[in-house]
Amino acid sequence: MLKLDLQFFATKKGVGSTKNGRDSISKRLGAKRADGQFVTGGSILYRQRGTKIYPGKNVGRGGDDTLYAKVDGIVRFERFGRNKKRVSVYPVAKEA
Amino acid sequence: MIRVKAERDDQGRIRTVTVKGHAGAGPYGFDLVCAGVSAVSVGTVNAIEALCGFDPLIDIADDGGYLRCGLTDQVSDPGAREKAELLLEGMLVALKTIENTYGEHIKVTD
Repeated sequence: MLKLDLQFFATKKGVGSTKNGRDSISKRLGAKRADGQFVTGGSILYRQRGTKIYPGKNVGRGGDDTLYAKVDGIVRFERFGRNKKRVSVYPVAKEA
Repeated sequence: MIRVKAERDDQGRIRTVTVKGHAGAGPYGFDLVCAGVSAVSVGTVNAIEALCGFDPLIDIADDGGYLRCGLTDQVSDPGAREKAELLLEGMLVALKTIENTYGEHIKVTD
């Protein structure tokens, strides 16, 4: 004997619609140069929202909190206070 | 849309009835057309089994939406086969009655 399911010919079990499923385009934030890397002035060092990393020596902060090198030199990520970090650029004569 | 198809032999005797599709007449649990069609089709299949003394050929989809009932050729008692045919004819009449009112959710071809 077949068991009767009165919704045997109903559309699949009601799958509730979700109000989620949207996301903004990822902004590829984060470090753009590595520690110890030589950079030229104007190079972007770190993309961020707010100041996860603070600007250190020879580093500027743009309107969107992007950190960039002001001079040619070597990148250094350093500790800053108890639990903060900063990035600095130390000029060095680039070997010819 | 539920589609019902009846197949007959060359003497016009009903051989199989296939019911497939989804009524789409309401959310799951509240689909009235589906409830009617389910009750008629499953009820008829069980009636054949209970009243005709043989098991019809049943093909059913586990997740719903497909039921095929066929009469085997090896039914020893001709009377039993006639009873089964009558029950399937009755099933078609009942499904056509549903179609008369809910034609946008069920289609019977015979």
